[in-house]
Amino acid sequence: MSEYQKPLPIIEFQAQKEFWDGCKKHQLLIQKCRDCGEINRRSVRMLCPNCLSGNLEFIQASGKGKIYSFSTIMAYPPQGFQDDVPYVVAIIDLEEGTRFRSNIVDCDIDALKCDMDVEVVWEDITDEYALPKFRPLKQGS
Amino acid sequence: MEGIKDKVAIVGMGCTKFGENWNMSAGDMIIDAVSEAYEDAGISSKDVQAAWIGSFWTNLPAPSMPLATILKMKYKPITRIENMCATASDAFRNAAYAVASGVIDVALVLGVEKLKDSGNSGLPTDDLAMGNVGTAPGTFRARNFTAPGHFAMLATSYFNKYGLSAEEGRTMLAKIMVKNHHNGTMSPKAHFRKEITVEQVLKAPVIAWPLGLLDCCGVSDGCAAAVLVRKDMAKNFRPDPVYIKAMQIAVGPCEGYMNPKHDWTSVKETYRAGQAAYEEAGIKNPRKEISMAEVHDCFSITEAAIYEDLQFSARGGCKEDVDAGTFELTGELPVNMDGGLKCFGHPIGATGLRMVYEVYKQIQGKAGPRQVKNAELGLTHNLGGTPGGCTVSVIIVGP
Ligand SMILES: [Zn+2]
Repeated sequence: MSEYQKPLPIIEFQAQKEFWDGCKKHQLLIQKCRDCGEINRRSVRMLCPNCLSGNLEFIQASGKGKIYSFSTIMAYPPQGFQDDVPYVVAIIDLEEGTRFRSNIVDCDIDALKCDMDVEVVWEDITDEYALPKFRPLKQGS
Repeated sequence: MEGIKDKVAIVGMGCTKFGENWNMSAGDMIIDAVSEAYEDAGISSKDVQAAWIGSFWTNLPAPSMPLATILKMKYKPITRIENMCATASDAFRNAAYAVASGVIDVALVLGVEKLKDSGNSGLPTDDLAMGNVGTAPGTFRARNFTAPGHFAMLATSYFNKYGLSAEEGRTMLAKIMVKNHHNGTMSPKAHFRKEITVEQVLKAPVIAWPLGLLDCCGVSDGCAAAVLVRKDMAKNFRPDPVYIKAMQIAVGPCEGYMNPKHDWTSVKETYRAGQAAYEEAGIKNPRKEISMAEVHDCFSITEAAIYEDLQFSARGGCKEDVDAGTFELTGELPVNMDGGLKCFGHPIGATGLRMVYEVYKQIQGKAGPRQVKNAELGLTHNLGGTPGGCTVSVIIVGP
């Protein structure tokens, strides 16, 4: 695999490593609290943002959801993303009741709409990391 | 809980020209803005008992020290404040609380930023730019989301919720930008001073769909300053002091990116800070009681959402009010009388005080061709962050 030039994930604690290990296996993981049952609607945490329990587990999301909002970046992308323009940034409402910020790929940009059904698709970027991105569900699938 | 209402007065203000101030350091701009404020208040550094400086990115080594030297404030207490794009508003808030406490009689507050030397066209796009919000502690990647991209999603959601076609929505936003540019032509201290048309806004290069170049504010250098005193001393300085009526900040928990209950047609922090400020000032009907507002139009859609979150417009009512000219200089509730961030650009740490400067001058009847009729209660709204999680300051001042 050629040298990946864009920023890589920064891993600061074990749960983050588990999240990215899941991505490498093409599993989109979300955190759930074993004590209060809440889905973590923040980035990966050591403690449950609802009850502060450390008793968290990862559950596998279906990878399906809907576009909540999006924008097509046409100019001034951050360092490393110049060659990607135009690209789509979006907030995706996952079936499990949490949101995810990612890119919409493999799509006709002009046909994108809010509430469009999307599914996760994986971009293997290095030997350790894969990024979860989303693409519109094909009609009838 | 006692509020700040009528405890603290502004007796002097100063503001530099905002723009590409290549020939001025941050220190030069500080001297210019503070000198104007001192002259306005009839004081000098020896009368100031404590100072607060707001600055976000400016590469001032230990930013409190330049004040001690360049303003000849040796051995006086000086505090540097940072609260994202609401930095200057928060510096103002901290200085005002010190005066309200009775410990300090005369305080200086200033906000300064020198961005044009950063080598970037927009804001720096390193990790610092988006902080922990954008990189979401290194896990959920958001690094190719830009600031315009985040605000553009507010527009996408707004158009979707209220059934506006892209053209209808973009035209509504363009009219807001045309208004601000028109006002800016009358502001000698503004960075951009030319009229634009709706057609120019719609045809400008797209930065982050549906926002184009002219939906975005500029990047500038600038500095603004204020002298605050206790209410009972105010008339010793000038016959027409301006009093603080409310001063509130709401800091969000950044849940908008991941909580499906978060509605991206509104900025909750704006609503919360506005509500709290209205309560503190005793305002029941903001649209009727507020005479004018300077708001954080970093992007066109931001100003549209602000109208609704500050209850100037009903939910979904922005288009109707924009079409009616409600927020124009001659309208029912003028907004961004000086041209806003759109014409002044946004030197992060200075913007909040530039807003207060405009309402202060308006209340004193010194706004020249921009003067609004019956300028009484003036509101400033200053936002840092993006719609999913931000800091919002709302300040209300009046005679
Ligand atoms: Zn819990």
